[in-house]
Amino acid sequence: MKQIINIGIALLSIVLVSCEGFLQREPLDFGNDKAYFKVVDDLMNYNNTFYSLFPGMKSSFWGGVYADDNNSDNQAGTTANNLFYPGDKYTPLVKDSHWKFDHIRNLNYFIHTIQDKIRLNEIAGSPELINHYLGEAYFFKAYEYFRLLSNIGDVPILNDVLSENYDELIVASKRSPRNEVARYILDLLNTSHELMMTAAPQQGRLSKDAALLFKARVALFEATWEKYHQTTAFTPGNPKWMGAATYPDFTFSGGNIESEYNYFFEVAIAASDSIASTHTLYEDYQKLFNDTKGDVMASSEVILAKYYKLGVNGHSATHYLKRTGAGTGFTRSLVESFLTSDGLPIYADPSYQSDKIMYYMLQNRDKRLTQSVKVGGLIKDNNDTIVYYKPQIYSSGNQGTPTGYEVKKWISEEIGQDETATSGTSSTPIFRAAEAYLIYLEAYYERYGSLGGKCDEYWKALRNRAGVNNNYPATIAATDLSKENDLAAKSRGTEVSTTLYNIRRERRSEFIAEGMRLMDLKRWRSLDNMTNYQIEGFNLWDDIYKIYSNDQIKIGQTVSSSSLGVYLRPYQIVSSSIVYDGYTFPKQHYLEPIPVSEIIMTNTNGLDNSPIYQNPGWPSKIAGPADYDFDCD
Amino acid sequence: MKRILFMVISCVVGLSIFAQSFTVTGKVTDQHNESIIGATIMVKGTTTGTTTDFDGNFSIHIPSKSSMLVISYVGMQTKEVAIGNNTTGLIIQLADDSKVLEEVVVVGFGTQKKINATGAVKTIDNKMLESRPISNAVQGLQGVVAGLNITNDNGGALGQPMNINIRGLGTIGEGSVSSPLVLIDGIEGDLSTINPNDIANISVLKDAAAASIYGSRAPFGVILVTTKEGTEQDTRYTYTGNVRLSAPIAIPKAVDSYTYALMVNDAYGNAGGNPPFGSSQLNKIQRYQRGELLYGIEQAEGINDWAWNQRSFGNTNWYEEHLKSYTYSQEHNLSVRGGTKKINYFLSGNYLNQNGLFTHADEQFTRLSINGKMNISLSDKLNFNWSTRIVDTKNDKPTALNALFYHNLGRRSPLMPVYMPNGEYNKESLIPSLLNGGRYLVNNQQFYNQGQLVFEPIKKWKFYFDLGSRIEKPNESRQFKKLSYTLPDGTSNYFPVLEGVADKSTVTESGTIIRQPAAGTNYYERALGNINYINTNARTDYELQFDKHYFKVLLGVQSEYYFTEIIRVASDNITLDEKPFLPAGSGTNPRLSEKKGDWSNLGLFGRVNYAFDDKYMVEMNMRGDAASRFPTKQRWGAFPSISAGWNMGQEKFWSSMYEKGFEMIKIRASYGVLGNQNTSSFYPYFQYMNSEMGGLVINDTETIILPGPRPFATSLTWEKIENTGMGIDLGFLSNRFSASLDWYQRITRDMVGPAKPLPAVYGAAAPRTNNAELKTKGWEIELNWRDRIGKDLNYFITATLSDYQSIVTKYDSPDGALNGYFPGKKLGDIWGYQVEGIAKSDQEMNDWLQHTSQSALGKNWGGGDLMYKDIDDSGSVNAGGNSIFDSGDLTVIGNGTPRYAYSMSMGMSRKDFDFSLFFQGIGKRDVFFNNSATFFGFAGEWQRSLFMEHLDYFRYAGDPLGANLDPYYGRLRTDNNNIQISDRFLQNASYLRLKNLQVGYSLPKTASLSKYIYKARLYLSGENLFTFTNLRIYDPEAIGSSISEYGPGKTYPMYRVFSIGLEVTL
Repeated sequence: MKQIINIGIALLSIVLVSCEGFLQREPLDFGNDKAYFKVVDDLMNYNNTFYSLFPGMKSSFWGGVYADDNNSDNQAGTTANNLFYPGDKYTPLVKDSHWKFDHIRNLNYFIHTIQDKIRLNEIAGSPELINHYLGEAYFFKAYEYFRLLSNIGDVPILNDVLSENYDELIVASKRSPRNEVARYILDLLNTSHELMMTAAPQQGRLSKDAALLFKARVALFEATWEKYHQTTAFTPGNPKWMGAATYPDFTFSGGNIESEYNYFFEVAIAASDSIASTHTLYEDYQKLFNDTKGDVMASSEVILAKYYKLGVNGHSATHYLKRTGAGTGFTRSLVESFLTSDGLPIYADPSYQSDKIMYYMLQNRDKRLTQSVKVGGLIKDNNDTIVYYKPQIYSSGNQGTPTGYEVKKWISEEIGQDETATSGTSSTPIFRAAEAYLIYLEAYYERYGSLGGKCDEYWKALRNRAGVNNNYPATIAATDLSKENDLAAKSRGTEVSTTLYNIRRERRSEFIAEGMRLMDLKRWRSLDNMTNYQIEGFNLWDDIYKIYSNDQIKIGQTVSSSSLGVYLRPYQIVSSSIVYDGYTFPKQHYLEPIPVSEIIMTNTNGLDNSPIYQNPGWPSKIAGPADYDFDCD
Repeated sequence: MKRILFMVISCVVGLSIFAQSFTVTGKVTDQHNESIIGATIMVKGTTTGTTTDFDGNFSIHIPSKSSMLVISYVGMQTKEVAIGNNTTGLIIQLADDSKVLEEVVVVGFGTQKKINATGAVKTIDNKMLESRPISNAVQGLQGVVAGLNITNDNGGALGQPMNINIRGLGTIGEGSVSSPLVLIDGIEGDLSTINPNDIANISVLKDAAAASIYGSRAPFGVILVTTKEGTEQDTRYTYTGNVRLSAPIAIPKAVDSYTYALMVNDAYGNAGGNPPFGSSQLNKIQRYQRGELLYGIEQAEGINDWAWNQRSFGNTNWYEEHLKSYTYSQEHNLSVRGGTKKINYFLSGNYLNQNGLFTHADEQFTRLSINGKMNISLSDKLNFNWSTRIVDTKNDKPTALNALFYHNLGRRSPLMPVYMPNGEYNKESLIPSLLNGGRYLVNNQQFYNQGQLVFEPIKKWKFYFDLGSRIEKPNESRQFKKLSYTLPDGTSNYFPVLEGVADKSTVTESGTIIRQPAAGTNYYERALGNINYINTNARTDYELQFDKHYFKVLLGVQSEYYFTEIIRVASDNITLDEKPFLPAGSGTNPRLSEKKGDWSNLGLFGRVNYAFDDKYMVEMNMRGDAASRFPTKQRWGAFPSISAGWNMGQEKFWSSMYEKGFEMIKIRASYGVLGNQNTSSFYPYFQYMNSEMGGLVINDTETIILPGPRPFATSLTWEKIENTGMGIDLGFLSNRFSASLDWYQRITRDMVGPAKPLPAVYGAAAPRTNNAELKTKGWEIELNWRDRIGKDLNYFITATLSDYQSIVTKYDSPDGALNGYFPGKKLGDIWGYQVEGIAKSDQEMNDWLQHTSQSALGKNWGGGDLMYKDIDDSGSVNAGGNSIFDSGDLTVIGNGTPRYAYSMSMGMSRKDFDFSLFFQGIGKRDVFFNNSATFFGFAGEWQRSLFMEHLDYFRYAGDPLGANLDPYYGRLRTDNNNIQISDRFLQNASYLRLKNLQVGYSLPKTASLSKYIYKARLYLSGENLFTFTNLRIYDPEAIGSSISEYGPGKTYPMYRVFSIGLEVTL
């Protein structure tokens, strides 16, 4: 009996002594941050995560770059866009908002960790590559900050990986004035440019030139924003600015707002020139957007592109665009703004044939238009059918086209590319040198009021490639802004100079269906004159209606009434349409709202003392639409 | 004395060898000296037997006078009688089978007399599982034990797991798990894989006092399953088997194509859109219906493809096309049982084969289990028990038969025809995917081995040494084949096996490969796993009884180790589609994953029971647990519990009542604190950082990505579950009536929940911490009555009723979001608008909008739309901040927790016939089918499910479908105006279901038959025969829960089962 107790006690104590080892279990299939960043490939893999931030085509689903301009006056989607009319746009939840800093946290973590490890010489690999990947991280941080700047404006500048300390987070939430954010982005890009390699270490990776071009984009954006939004609630340095109370002693680094934006213009000019002067344009415009072979992407023009591969991320662009209307279409305004090949606006060129018949309207036009839009209608030349294509205005949803001008740009004619929504492998340029040419033109003219410097060279290069007579002074002379059906003819309600307008026209033409338009309209403050603005499509009721059956074009069901005009008006088909009277842009929509919960959460002790001030006109207490009576100017 | 007796016995035995057989005659009566007809008389240890005649008399030959007779009768206690020299005129009186004093309950590490039990424990025998055409034991337990909540929202898919909890949800499930611990003969196991025929009894330990001996694995109750074992008897062979017919129930009735088109047109028009069906298509639809068109689909205009989807004009009822009217299944079970004084054994084999309900999907579920159990008496003091169990389950079905299939079936348009003009199945019919899209095979093998040594050096002092092991081999293969259809010009095109989802190719953090291959890609995936669980346990108990004092002491240690790994390998472009195997080398687009993990646990436990005179009882438990899941400093936890009982029935002052039959009135109370170690992650206090495939192409290859490290908790520790309970047990009239009533409260302290949300500049989700608290209160009632009418009719009625509610009492929710948790939130609460009614005209709506703006809910309001109430008098109906601080016009309109779970079973037997009924139901439950196309007919452009029920929607006079100004539904719309969460469409999901009905006939036990057949019974049994519910469209057990990916109703249908079965024991 006693023996048994003794044995029992002995067993028990053995168990207890050995239990610590028995109970200490460590993860078997995942690591922690201590395990990584010992070799340079880890740095590369870490940065790979952020490449998905770049725009591209969608895999499986509809959408992507070809439809991004649905949010502008260039293209129209199947439904009205709530940005362009009051009442339907609300303060969002954090997860749906732009007020997100997750990538910035991860990038700050990376930058700090890698800098420490470089100092301690703890990473195996070539120093050049290590620096390059550190540079990529700086680039992505700049890229994220530009998203914040262009959508929200003033945002907190975060350099550290923040702790969970609530009070510190409230302090860190304080928004910085937008010009300082922009300067911060330029700093990041300078560092990035210093660290990255001149030639990308791999196809599809960033390089020094990408940092330069992006720097030019950021600088031009901020410069024009400050110029056209100055003295309003959208820029610092005046009492209407939402941050005026938070920053009572605000001054511009450049002295005043004019010197501030001129500084940005100058940065834009210098950065864009260093790209434009070293990169020629690729001769075949169309091929830039439907190339599957890669030689175009290796060209001097393409600085960075997104690549696709079957079975990994094959895209749907060709599938949708070739087989259907893809739920988008160019607007009449966009199509009309293109010049003729003589370099004249359509109203000034007697050779221009009316848009009654699309085929003829597209003769002798800027190639960037003719290579981007499908030709519809029935054209016969002696009994031979030249064109027979029915734009799918009668189909609903993503099958159809709301305007009748179906998108051809991005379609690859290679066999198999259109087969499924994942068979597209044509690459998408993310950064191309043409943008530098355009930035130079615009920044130079905005800064100096003339077309000096290399403006002549760059402008002509763009036109030559587009097959447009490069005599741009003749274009300027022939331009009559009152005849231009273009929101960008005006900034903040007043007409801009014909020269500047033609620079903007060049930009609009060059970037057709590339998703750049909304950013331009905002920074130019050209949405002010979007009042009762009807989105229009092709000329339906003069001629092309004849090729449709009665069932396909039912007024009030699939098409707008001919009594409203000959042009198809996709948002004026049914009388109950919320924008039946056209788009009227509320100025409050120039900046995105900040989630109300963030403002409430950062109020300390229940007082309304959040360091986060809301954007102009947006509510800060209860989620909802903007206050449309709020005076932004 | 003993020695003398032994000599006498051996003499008698010795003599009897030479003796002739004797005839014994006698009579069997009950307590009231009424003779019993049909009582069975067997000679012990032989198959010789007879039954009593109409006067209760019997006559039987026995081999010797030393033989024992065993007299049994249903509802009476079996009695053994020694013959001796009284061979004639025996009067054998059988007592009622009332076990009031003898009845035991199975508790942790032992059994206990029921009368002395102080915890909330319920032990049931296997009667509730017998002869039921169920596919697993969990189904059979639904509704059987009050407080054991087994619910199902996901229909009747083969192998479908059901939700099990004891006394409600223990945590909110954000970082920790609260399922009950299931122990099969002492080792943790899967209740759904055990052969129901092997179960001897099941004990449910509901409160902390009962469960605490199992410590940190058991804070939310324990289900103890004891399987059958051998007995000292001649070898008996038992076969039971049944064949079953299953028929789907509650299938929605779809509208025809023309009605469908008109309804769609209405919906678009009502939302301010363009009606998609023009006159020419409506015309085609009607012509097809009249039989004037041969095909329901044609070539699309201008292109070499067919006019798919809404442009076709067939007329198909997709539920009818896809569902069989019945399917069959079968189950066979064979067991051998017997033993001697030294060795007892029980062996059984079970085979279950179930077929699916879908016409075009060859789907099978099979379970094969083999069970062996042996008890060996090595010496007077040493016993050895050994058991082995092998379970093999297999589910073989088309890959395409997944959640997406039910979703697509629910929204299939009747316009699509089944066949194409070229004779192929329409690819949109989903049929080619089911038939030829590849198979998904899930196979799991479980191998249990248990050994136990019982050493009893001194009478009543026992040592137990247990070693248990479970080895599991999960094994899956999944294949996607290439599918193609023929284009109008005769060429062919590939189409994807899964319709309507993005092609995907990702490996999730849990290691599963999410692959939805593009059209024309054949894909094959294998998963092989290995799970090892080892449980060792050493304990000792000592029982002591002197005078009226009873003590029992238990002490022990337990260790557990669990290891799991699963490897998945997949590749595209498999060489042989018909016989898929992974190609040598890496193949095309390979995907690999390996997940593994382990945990260990160490526990020390002790228990003291004390009872005085069967009157006063106290039980104390103590368990100390250390779990590998927590950091060293927080690793150990101590969990005490105490319970006490007072049996008033034994008191002197009660004796007069006792005499009248009120034998037992026991009041008990318990209190205990248990820890929960079941965190969702095995390693919750480690930082996670891992590379994965990125789905992006750089340098012409798919990238690997390495996401940033996540913030992680270093302070995570035990959730502490505090249980308080009280109960009364009653046993009256020789236990003919018994009842128990229980009340309890459970507080889950330091519950793991999301940390207080941080401002977005933090840039990550804050790690979870022990910062929440949940309180659950509930009660249970169980009533039993069993008796006999006259001599032959035995019957019983059992009823249970239980309820619980849970409230979050602590939770960091600065924004008080209604869809999250906040202090004071009752689990299951549904927040919604209140509806005044449906406006009968545009004028009525305009009048309403004068004072109540509804612009926050939608636009284009008019007649036929809902008028929502402005609760907060703000002039507009809105959700405010969707927060408890600002809930706008939202109020709690209902609660989705299934409440008042009840059941009733009754049965009777008369001579050879038996009959039983089992009802099960939920007394109160609200559900709202949020945004559900299947409930509302419309929810967004691609979600159209138009059933006959939906025809009850608002229409003016002149509508092609006729006027309906007083409908249930508002006018159909493609937008969300009329499908906001509101009290108008809140559904009552309570139900009462006749779960089981059985009629059986047993072969009479006559001497001549009993020589060959010990027992034989033929039965008819039906499952889910009738359902009473007010729920629209759905079956209350197939509504789909939050875990069903595509919303309500998109599940496998429930079914009704009819079976015929046979039980034979030789």
